[in-house]
This record gives sequence, structure tokens and C-alpha cells, in this order.
Amino acid sequence: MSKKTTVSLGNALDIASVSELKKRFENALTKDLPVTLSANKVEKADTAGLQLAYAFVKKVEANGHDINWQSPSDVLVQTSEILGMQEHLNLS
Amino acid sequence: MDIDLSQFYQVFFEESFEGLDTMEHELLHLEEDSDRENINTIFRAAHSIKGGSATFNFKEVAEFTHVMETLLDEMREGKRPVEKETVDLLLRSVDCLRGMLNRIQDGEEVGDSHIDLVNYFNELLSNGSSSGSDSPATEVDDSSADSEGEITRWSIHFEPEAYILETGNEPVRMFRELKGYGELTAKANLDKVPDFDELKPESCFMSWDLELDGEVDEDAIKETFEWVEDDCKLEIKPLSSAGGKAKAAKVVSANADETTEENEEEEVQTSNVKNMVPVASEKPAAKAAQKPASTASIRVGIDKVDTLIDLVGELVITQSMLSEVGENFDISKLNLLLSGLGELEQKTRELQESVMRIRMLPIGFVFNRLPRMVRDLSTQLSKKVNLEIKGESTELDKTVMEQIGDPLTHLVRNALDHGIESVDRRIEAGKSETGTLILNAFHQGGNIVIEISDDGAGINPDIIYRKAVEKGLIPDGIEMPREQILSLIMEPGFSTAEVVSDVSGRGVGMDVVKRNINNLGGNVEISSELGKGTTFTIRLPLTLAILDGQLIKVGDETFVLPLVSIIESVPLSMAETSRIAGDMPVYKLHEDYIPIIDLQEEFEIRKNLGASNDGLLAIVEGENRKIALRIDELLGQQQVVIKSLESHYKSIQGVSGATILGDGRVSLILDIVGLSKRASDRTHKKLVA
Repeated sequence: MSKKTTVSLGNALDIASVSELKKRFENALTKDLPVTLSANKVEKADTAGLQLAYAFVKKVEANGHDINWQSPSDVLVQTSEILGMQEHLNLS
Repeated sequence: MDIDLSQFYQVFFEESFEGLDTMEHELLHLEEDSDRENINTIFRAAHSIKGGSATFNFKEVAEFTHVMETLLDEMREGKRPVEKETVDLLLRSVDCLRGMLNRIQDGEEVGDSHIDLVNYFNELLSNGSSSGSDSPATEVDDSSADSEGEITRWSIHFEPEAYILETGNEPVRMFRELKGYGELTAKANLDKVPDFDELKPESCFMSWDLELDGEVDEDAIKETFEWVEDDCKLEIKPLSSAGGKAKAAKVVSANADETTEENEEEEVQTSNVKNMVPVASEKPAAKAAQKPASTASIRVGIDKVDTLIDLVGELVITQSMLSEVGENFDISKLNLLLSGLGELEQKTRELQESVMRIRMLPIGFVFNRLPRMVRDLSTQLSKKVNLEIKGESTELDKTVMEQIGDPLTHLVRNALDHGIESVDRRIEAGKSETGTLILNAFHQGGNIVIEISDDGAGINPDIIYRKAVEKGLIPDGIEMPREQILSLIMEPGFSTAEVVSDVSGRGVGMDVVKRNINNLGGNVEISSELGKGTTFTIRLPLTLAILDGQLIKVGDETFVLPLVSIIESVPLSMAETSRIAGDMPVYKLHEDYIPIIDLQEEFEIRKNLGASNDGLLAIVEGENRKIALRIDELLGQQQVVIKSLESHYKSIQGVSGATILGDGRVSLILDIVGLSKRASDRTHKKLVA
């Protein structure tokens, strides 16, 4: 089964967008497929955004699927580093 | 969740203005009582303004309050004495901040009015005794000077409350600031992050263990977390000490790099107020310009809201009881119905009173701005004045309060300028050299009474009389009671000041005071005793939203007259009427002739053919002018809720508003002063023609 679903994070993974992002993540979970997070456009990221991403990563993995990042932006990587979440998010 | 910070601007402004009022109030007490708690209160107010302005990116305000705070900190720690000069500077800063915030609120540029003060602060701080202060202008130099032996590794455990992100406090920003002090290693603890399904995405479930390797003292680390110190668990422990200039150099360069990076990212900085070079704040100004028209708000005590909720609950019970009675109604339930209706009426009245109470605020809000003015003015006038304020918790309607501020200020200025004598004169008169000005407020009947009394020279009625004759306000030789003579000082253009000062005595003011108070449905009385002092007594209605009205009928129309304005009514058949120049009908009331206004003609109402020719004259008074209104019938009296005509239609002379009657019809509320002006304008036109 090589099917997978891709979720684009858009340009913001921050507190202003977490509500809407959570709904997108929920939709992706209903498909019960491996997930690719498209994060090349992320220009803003903060604690709320990364915490949500972490919970989503854990959920997908708990459902027995793989999850990976597609070209995470520098902002995303730097923010995860500053928050000490790089490893948890598999962004290292 | 889409956070648009501009929606919080209004709250920020309101809180900041309140904070500034508090600062001013405490500063005025500081000279006489430099209690540590006073300084703490001032510090806290400045700190909140700094926090809010930094969050909303009002950089200039944040920078300015930062230097104020540094000075206050030194005072708080006893490193700097409380002196008049310092208090003056802080009071000027309060004024300056008020101006800055007003400009931001109006969407204007902040300007550079604060820069001189900031420079002065910095000068004062650098000359001061405090070596440990974090004077922003010298921060980088300080770090190089102290570089030897200060390098330390720190372990920081940071566990914020769940709501922290919603308050705009962002760990990324704090950690980035820490990174400015050296190498930072962060380890996130994610054990408490709930399962995805249960995660509230705006709450924070994470905590961090940080290690900071850099030349920094504990205070600086604490400062990074100062906005959240009450909203987190924070443990800062030194791990080890090292030394060396090489590393100090590294810290400075890391700091510089980080600053550049931050500027590029244009993150909202909450606490980076180190760069004291004033920056034009295009961003906040632009944001402010886009903001929707601000809506005023009031803070309401929770007890008032609870009472309201209780009442609504009771009202619902009564309503459901009545519905039940109505469902299978028969005459045996009539008593039940009547008692239910009685209860409904009582609850509705209570509800109305409770709702009105929500708009009530203590008059202290207005009184509190006066001590500062009295202090400044008495210095300017070289007089010694002791201001006593009583009854500041007396409540009145917010709208009334907003409009009473200026008249009150004017009366206090007047009392200081003309009432209370100079020190020399007071000593000559055998009085103490310090004059007393008393502000008092209390409720009396349905009114609030405000008294402004001074123990000054008093008003000489003879001088007032002479001036009034000179100015042609009264004919020479007329007999007048003392109070009436005194009230002449409130006639337009009347001023007895021998020297026109910039404090008062411009010949305008007292008449404006009187007009403003009259417009609020209130009145002013003056009592004065030569050599002993003067008292101005202002009487105001508690609220402007509800009026005790007399319903009157003209043709098929029903109008409302303010009950307080009615003097008497007489059947037209018994009234002594005649016509004077300009063909104006007049009514002889005692020894006076007062104009008659026929409301049917005035509002071009169709005559009710069924009605008899007889009608009534309602004698009414507004601003000391009496008029007689020709009406058909007096109906009942009732309280009416005033609706603005201006905001729904347009302003009409002679009509102060509208209301909705019990039967659902709209009725106009008559404005006596406006009606009398309309009548006199028309007569004047007729005479000219």
C-alpha cells in the first residue's frame, strides 16, 4: 500500500492558525494513511504550532503509520531547535 | 483561532489610562508619604503599561516606561531618595505618556515629545547612585566592564501555565532573548502534552529545561521572564563558573548577531527594549488607523452582574408562572393572574434599576484628576491649598460623569484663582496661610449633589451687582435677592477678574459651566459669605437614560415633557392671555408675561376636529426661562427610556429625544430650552420682517 496523504501547513504554524490546522489534521487522520507534512512555505512558527504538530506526529505514529516532513522551511527548523523539539518532531 | 491584536487595543488603552491615573494619584501622595507600597503601586502601573505596549508593538511607549521603571526601581530599593524634582519628572512623564497613548489611539504618529524626557531620565540614572541599574543606554558597556569572572552556566526550569500562549507570551521569544546572552540548549518536556484528540491547541502543555552558558547574571535571566513571572514555575540555578575575556567577547557578538536576526524577522518583541534609539512606529500607527471606531466600555463589579442574573432568573420564573395561568385560564385564576402581573411589574422595575446601576460609577473617577491640578495650580499661583475630597464613592451615571468633569475642573480652578487668597492676604485677614478646598459628593433624593467649597475671600454681591449694571445685564436700581445677584456671575460674558490670568477670568467659563450642567438636567447654586468663603452646589440627575415624564396630548399625537420642567397647568379658558409685538401670544404668570407656544402649530399637527376648542396651558421652565405650551390634554405620568433622535434620525431643535410608549408608539420628548429658542427666533424674524 503506497498510498499516502499530504497535509500542507501553509505559511503559518502558529497560534493564530492552530485551530484551523487541527481540523485539517483531523481530516487527514480520518484517511488512515501515512502522512507527509508539506512545510516548505512555513514563515511563522511558534510553541502552539509545534506542540500541535508534535501531537499529530504522535497520533499518526500511534495509528501505525509513517509521517515525514517535506522540505521543512528554515524558520520551522530553527524554531523547533530553539524550543528543543527537533528530535521529537523528527526535524533533525 | 485568528488572533487580531487590534481587538485588544481598546482594553489596553483603557487599562493604561487607568494605570496612569493611579500613578498620578500615588505620585501626588509620594512627597508627603513615601511609603514603599506607594512606589510599588506606581511601579506596577508603569510595568503593566510597559508590558502591554511591548506586546502591541508600541515601541516608544515601552521604551519610555522602561526608563521610568528603572528610576522607580531605584526609588523602590531606597537607592534614590524621593524628591520633589523626581516626583515632578515622573508626573511630567505621566502627562507625556498620556499624550503618546492618545496619539496612538487616534492613529497618529507618536511624535518625539518624549525624547527629551527619556534623555533626562538617562542623565539622571547615569548620575545616580545606582550602579546596579539596568540603564539601557549603558548596558553593552556594562557587560564588557564587568566581564571578568562573571561567566556562569545556568540551569533554568521553565514550566508555564497552560494559558500562557493565549496571553501573547511566547517561549520562542524568551528563549531567543536568552540566546542573546550565550549558548542556549533547550530540552522540551512533552510528557504532559495530551493525545491529539484532546489537545486544546491554544494551551501550552510543555515545560522546558534550559542550559545557558553565558555571561549573564540571574537578574537578567529573570528579566527575560518578567512578563510571565506570575504565570509559570521558574527555577534558575547556577551550574558552574568560568572566566575569560574571550568568552565575553563572544557574548557581545552573539548578542549583536541575534539583534540583526530579530530585526530581519520582525517578530513582535515584548521585552527587547534595550535599543533606546527612537524608531518611527509606522506599524502601530497604521494598525491604529485601521482599527474600527472604538467602543467605550465600563468595568462592572461582579456583584452587580450577579444581581442582574438573579433577577433575570426570577423574571423567567414569573413569566413561566404566568404562561401556566394563561394556558387554561378561567375566572377562578384571576387573583393568581393579578398577583403574577404585580410580581412581573416589580421584578421588571428591579431589573431596570439594576441595569441602570451597571452604568453607575463612583465620582472618584472625576475627583481623582483634581488633586494634580490643585497641586500644579497652587504652585503656579503661589498659594497654599489643602484639598479635601469626600464622598468619592458616590455613584452616578457614566454619561453624566463624563460631562461633569470639565465644569467641575473649571469650578475648582476658579476657586483656586479667585476664591482662595494669597498667603499674605490670608495672614492679613487672620486666617491660616493654607486655604482649604473641599469637594464633596452625596446622594439626595433622585439627585447627586456635588459641593465645591473654599474658605477664601467670598464673593462680594455689591461688586457683582455693579458689574452687572455696567454690562447692561440688569437695569440699575433693581431690587434683587442676594442669591440671584450671585448667580449673575454665571451669565454669558460676565467676569470680574481684575487681571485676566491664564487660569481663569477670561469672561467665559462660568456661563459654560452653567449651560453644561443645565444640559445635563441639573442646576448650580452659589452661596457665599464675604471673607469666609464660597460654596458652589451642583445638583444633577443620577442618570440621563431614564426620565420621569408627563405625557401630553396634542391633536392625535402624544408627547413627553420632563416632569421636573412643569410648573403648573391652567385651563386655557381661565388663562389671562394677550398678544405683544411680533404678534406673539403671551400668558400672564404672576407679574411676568411668558410666551405661549401652540404645539399644534409648532409641529404642524392636524387639528383633532372632535376636540373642544378648550385646551390647557402647561407652564414649563428650562434654564430659568419659562414658557407656556398650548396642549389639548394632560395624560399620565411615567418613566420613559430616552432614545437618541440624533443617532436614529437627526437633531431637531425643541426635541431632545424619543421614547417608545407602552402601546408601542413612538413619542417625542420635548426640550423646553430648544422650544423657547425656536419661539424667540421666530418672533425675532417676524419683528425684523
